[in-house]
Amino acid sequence: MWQIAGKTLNSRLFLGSARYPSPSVLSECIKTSATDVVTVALRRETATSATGSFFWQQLKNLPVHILPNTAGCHTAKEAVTTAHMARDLFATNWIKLEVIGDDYSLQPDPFGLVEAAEVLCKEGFEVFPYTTDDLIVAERLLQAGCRILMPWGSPIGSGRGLANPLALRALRHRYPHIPMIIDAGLGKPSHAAQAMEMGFDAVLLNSAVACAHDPVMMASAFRLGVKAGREAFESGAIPERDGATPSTSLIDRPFQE
Amino acid sequence: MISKDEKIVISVNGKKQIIPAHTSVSSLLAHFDMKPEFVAVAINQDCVRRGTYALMMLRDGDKVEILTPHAGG
Repeated sequence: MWQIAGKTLNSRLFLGSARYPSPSVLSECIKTSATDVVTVALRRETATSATGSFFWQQLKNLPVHILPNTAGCHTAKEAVTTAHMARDLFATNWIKLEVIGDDYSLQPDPFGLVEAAEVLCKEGFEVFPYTTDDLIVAERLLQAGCRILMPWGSPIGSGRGLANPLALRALRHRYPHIPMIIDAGLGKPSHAAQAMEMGFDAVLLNSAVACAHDPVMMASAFRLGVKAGREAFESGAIPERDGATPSTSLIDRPFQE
Repeated sequence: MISKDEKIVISVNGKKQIIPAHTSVSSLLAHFDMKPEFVAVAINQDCVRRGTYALMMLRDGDKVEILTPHAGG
């Protein structure tokens, strides 16, 4: 168990709720992954309330914490308003803050992100800022009041894993006491394990499970990958060396003169 | 003096709508058969708190966003 943002969680795997083949597969993946936190979005209601209400009723019946996002927002104002609406609807002060700067890479706009984070932190939101691996942006977010950081692994949905482990490692070492969740770009359980081995507190992923050939089995695989990575981190892995260190003793080797 | 027949033009989720003047957010939701408990509303990029829907009157030129829970990553 671990604590973040005032809550105690069993799982270090956060799961997105989008792009699943069906609502039933989504439910199965949530259960199989054993996640405690599921991200959701707000979108325009184009028909009757049935669309949003069905989805909301489905999630409310599952034992998970809801983490609303501000996906699709391109300005701080849009993100702040969306956060307000999310708090009103979902009755939570948690917000995954996204302010997107580029529609191709979906890379965060660091300036809008920090601006929105400052407003929302002052209003009592628990901000989970989706950011890059940039150390200075991280520092600005913390100065703005954020207590959590969510650096990307690589572009959303790219499946590339940790594109810049060096920068992520630097981020982890610079702020050892700040909860950090790797968000975006993970494709395989080994990516999640790598993030956890580096000491990150959790991972957030969506497409890697939802778009897998067998999403339910992949949800299980990620659960195991996160667990393995965390246990490896807590166990203290051996350091990397350039040369070899024999496992078998050289003393009393046969065939020696 | 505003007549009972006066209409205003607003935008709802990006689409132009002509509605009677003095329409509240509650009335607007009812008009679209949207249940308040499953939506969130903003007018001109300012969130309208849930408990004020009946009191918040729409004005000519307002840009209304009615959002609902949706899958998201």
